[in-house]
Amino acid sequence: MMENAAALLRETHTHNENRLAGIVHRFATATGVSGRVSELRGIAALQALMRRIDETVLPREIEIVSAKKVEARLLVANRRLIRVETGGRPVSTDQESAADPVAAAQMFVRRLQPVLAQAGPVHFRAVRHDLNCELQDMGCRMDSLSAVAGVPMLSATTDDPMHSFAVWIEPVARAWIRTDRAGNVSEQHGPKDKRDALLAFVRDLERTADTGPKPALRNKPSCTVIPLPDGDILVIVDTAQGGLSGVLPGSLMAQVMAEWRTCFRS
Amino acid sequence: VVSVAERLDTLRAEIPGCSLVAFGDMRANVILRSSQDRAVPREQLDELCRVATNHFTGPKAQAVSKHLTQGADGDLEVAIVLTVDDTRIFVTTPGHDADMLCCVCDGQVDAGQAVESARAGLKDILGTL
Repeated sequence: MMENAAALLRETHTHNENRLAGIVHRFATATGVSGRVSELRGIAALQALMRRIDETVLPREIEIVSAKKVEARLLVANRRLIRVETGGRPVSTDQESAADPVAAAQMFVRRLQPVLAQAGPVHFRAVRHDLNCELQDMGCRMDSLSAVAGVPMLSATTDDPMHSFAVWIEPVARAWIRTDRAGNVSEQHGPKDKRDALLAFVRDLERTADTGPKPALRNKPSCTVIPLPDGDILVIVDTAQGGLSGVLPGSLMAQVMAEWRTCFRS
Repeated sequence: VVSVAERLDTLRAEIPGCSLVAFGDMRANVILRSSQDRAVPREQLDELCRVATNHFTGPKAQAVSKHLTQGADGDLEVAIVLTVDDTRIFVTTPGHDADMLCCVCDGQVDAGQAVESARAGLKDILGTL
């Protein structure tokens, strides 16, 4: 089983090598549209990353993106970190280290901490990953990583309902972007054309901000659902800390609203 | 013939948890008639009309049309706004002939059902004018 997984990971790595130039190019283009980067950095970035991994069940490749490039690429599944790739060099747990979660965590922390310390502001980008193998005994859980790194984990539900909502919509959304209070993009997901369209939409709304809610209402979280002519729905979440805009299949409208109420405990 | 006020009362009664139904003119930016379970300040009614205008004909509608409809035919006819306190449902007619209807409901409302009721209510009201 582990041999199959290792072979799959090697194949994925080669495939990803070929995609890297394209990813960097696409991100450079996206930066040109937004003109801004996130302020997520250092320990805060590591905490956000651990939380993201801890809430990821289906296989995902998470990219850590700085203003300059894709700094690292992580393979994540079943709430575990399976592989970290920095500078084109992947490291993943083998059978021996997988049996020792501390050893696996130490290996990953040695790769991640320098990246997050030196990259400056970063944001995360998640893409689906076709990893079809048993993952129960691979990689390391985030409690192990947290202990080795000496950085406490944050509770997503209590600390950041927007994050919880983003984690929920990520597997089902066609595309979404999250922005902080200043309008900087902190997370994004989906094909480039859809992300660019959402970003242009958000920027247009910012330009007409004086027509938004009255100041007294701006601090209250809200979620607007707008059915689009093509059958999809546009979802716009506003909070005092930032916003999220996403396009989802119209069939999920009721679930989106229920999930927003769960995340924001209303 | 059922009056506008009577139809609004009926609509409010048929949507569980609905506390306010308002019929307005987005072109004039004014609520013309409303039905509510308690007194509502004029300012709050004006705010509902302003939100509807923003979603159906104003900057938000224009930004959606410009960037997110991908050339698909059809106007925006429904907007649902969730807050921690309530659920606000806005509907208008195809072509945006200035008329809009808004329902303010509690957080437990079946929004899909409420949208259908609101659409039917708006259609009835426009048929009486």
